[in-house]
Amino acid sequence: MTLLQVTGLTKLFGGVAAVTDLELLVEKGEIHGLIGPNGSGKTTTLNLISGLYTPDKGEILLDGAPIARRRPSYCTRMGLARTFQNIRLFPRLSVLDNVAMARHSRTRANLLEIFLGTPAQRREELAIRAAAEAALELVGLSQRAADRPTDLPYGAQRRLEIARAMATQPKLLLLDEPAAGMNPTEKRELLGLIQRINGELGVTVVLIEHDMNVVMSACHQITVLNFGARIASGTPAEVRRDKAVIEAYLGRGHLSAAN
Amino acid sequence: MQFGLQLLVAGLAMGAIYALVALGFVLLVNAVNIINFAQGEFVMVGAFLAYTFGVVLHWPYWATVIAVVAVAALVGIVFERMAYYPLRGREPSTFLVSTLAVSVFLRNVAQQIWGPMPFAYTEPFGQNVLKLGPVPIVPQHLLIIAALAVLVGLLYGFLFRTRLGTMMRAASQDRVAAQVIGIRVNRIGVITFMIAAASGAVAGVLVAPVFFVSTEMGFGVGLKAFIATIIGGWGSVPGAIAGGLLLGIVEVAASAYNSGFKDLFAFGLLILFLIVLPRGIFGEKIAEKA
Amino acid sequence: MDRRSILGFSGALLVLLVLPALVSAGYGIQLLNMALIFSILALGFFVLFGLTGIFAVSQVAFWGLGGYAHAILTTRYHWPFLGGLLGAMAVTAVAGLLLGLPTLKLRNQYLTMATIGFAEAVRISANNFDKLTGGPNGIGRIPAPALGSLVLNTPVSKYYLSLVFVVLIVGGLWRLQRSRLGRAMQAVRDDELAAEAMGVHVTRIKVLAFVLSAVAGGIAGSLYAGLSSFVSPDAFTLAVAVQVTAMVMIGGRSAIGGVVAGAFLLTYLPEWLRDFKDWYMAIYGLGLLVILIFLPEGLAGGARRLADRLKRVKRPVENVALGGGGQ
Repeated sequence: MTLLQVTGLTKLFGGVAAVTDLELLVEKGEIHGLIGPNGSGKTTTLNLISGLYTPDKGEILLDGAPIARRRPSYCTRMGLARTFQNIRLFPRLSVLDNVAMARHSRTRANLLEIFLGTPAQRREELAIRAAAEAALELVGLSQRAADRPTDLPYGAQRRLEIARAMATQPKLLLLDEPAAGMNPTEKRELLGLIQRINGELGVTVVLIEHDMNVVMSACHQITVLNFGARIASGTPAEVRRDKAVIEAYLGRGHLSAAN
Repeated sequence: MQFGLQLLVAGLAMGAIYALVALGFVLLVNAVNIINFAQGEFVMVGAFLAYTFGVVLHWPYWATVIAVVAVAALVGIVFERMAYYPLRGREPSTFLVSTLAVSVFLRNVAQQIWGPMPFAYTEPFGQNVLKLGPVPIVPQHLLIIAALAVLVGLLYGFLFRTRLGTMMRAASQDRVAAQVIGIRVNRIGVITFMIAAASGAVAGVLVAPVFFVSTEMGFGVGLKAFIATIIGGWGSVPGAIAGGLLLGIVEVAASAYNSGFKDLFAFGLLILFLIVLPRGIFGEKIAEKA
Repeated sequence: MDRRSILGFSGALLVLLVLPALVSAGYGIQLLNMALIFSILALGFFVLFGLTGIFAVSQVAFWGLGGYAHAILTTRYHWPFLGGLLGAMAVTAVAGLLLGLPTLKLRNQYLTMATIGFAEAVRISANNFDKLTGGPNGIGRIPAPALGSLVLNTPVSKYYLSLVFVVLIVGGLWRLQRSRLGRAMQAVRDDELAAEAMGVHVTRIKVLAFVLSAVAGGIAGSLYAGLSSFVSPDAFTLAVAVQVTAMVMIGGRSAIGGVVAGAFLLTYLPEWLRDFKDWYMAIYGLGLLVILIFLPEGLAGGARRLADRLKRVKRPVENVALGGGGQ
């Protein structure tokens, strides 16, 4: 069953096409890799799907519901969450609050209830805290709940972003180069985390990643972009043999390094 | 008809003042990406200095102007060291507060130096009125308009014909890249503050005969100049000029209708632009970022 | 609420309760009343700037609107005090909404300047719509606050009335800061785009913050009208906006207690600096700048940092004492 269906997606920046007529199908329950050389439009695609950019043409359906041209917060409410390539945590909120804020779209207390501290509101606050703690537990950051995110090491900040995204209770999690800047041990742990999110929690994942080891071992399906368009898609094994893919990467060494 | 011409000249003159101050706004936004709350205070400083040099010390007009520009440039350096340099890298709202603080400081120091009573400054034309056929024209208005034309010419010459100007433009487009190729970005910042302060002070010398010289005069002009920047298009040099002139004309026309409400018209124009054309006349395309 | 907050809160409340007994009956109590009203004004600005990161200068305009709404409703239409208060709150809420909707879509720096325009427009209107506002002469003979038959016509009784509002607002904001909406505001302050991507409708949150700060301004204006029984455009100049900004920055822009402390401090500062009366505003500006440079989180932030440092120094000493213990 299809969870994310992107058709004819096009985005121009000052007349230059960053993404052209892109097709992308993500099945429920899979880890879907989105790869391509630098500047091939991966992050632009992610920004279009998560609502940060408005597409010039095309449709995006999440679980059958159209989400193109809607605000990012709407997409999140519909079940989409993401992380950022250049980490964007809230520096003046504690690690716990960084995750707790992501419960916003799943909670409902209004201003009056908050001022009065109604029983329902207090219960909801406790539930928010519990959910945030669970998300921190998932990524192994429970011990750092009271710290500021800027005090965390780089790899931990990336995991905190994943915890924050998970706290929105997504159907689809978009990860933008989560392994960037990580050492091999951290990458292995990250791989385990992504597989747990996908396997145990049943969240579908779209993964943008440059590290071919991570991509090839994590993903069930891969879509390859070049110049803002899809040039191949299939299982890791199929993609690895694809002529167009090899050509696109030729000289860059990504594939040979992965083999 | 002649009344119309008179209003047009007066409006363009007022607008030229706003444009001069707005230029300082725009240059600072481009160079260091801050909004300078105290931009109007440079006008006040310029007007008071003109009074001191011209009236108290009896210097000739040209010497007064040169001295005002020089002192204002120094004020610009001190300003940069107080309100910008120690805080660079902080969030944008910090600079709104820091420039606001320095603006309060400047205004009250001026009050201690020059006292709370407004002065009259009528250089260089005194109370004379020119006759253009049947139309009476205030010569100061013509001087202001001419001065704007000359100064804008100088500014463009500086920005596009000199090494330093080219570096300034480079730094405003991409600070990091400019730094990489060896432009000393911090020095560019200081120079921009000097230019902003000097252009504001020149506006002060020019506008002093139109208003009274007082500690309060800077705030209103600064605010109008800001409105002009928004109308013209944020960060755009031609926008600052066009916005200033447009605002001046609208305001003078409005005050001919009802002088008590002329400021309301300016703010009305601002709100109108914010709603209908928030990018202004020459607005940059606000880039989408993620 | 943790024990330390409860302790701090009740301690401060106790001080505020006995303060009127400790000051002179005339000018002293008048200053205390102003300090409370400024606290409310500053608390409103705290929601906007401290929590949501929006630097607007409109707070003074809402203060003025609230004051005039209260004055007009109670003198011309003879509404009771509470009616005037609710009217002031309603007027400022609507004004906040009307100002917020078009301007909040702008980048934050635009907004600041647009709100200055708004503040000036309100003051100019108060000056010029003579029929409604009395022009530069203002509106006098505003009746003293009354709750039913209980007329609060002494400065001390007005003080306690204002104190009730300060306590309510502090309590409400304390809860807000630790709620889903408060966290959303702080997320918007730290990174708008990330907040939106994590499910926060940024425009709605900003409008909410704007309206809240406007209503706080309205309450302050209404209480001020009842306190001084007179409103005029002179009380609502941009200098007040500067003062409110300074209160929040100096007290500590992310600590509620700091904001109230800042309001009291800056209401009293002119008295302490009386010998420098002429240089007072210049010192003010310079002081604000110094705080900004050296104590970005204000006095509250400075105090917290000091406490952390003391704790760090103390801990090893305790360990040593435990290790060598035995008597």
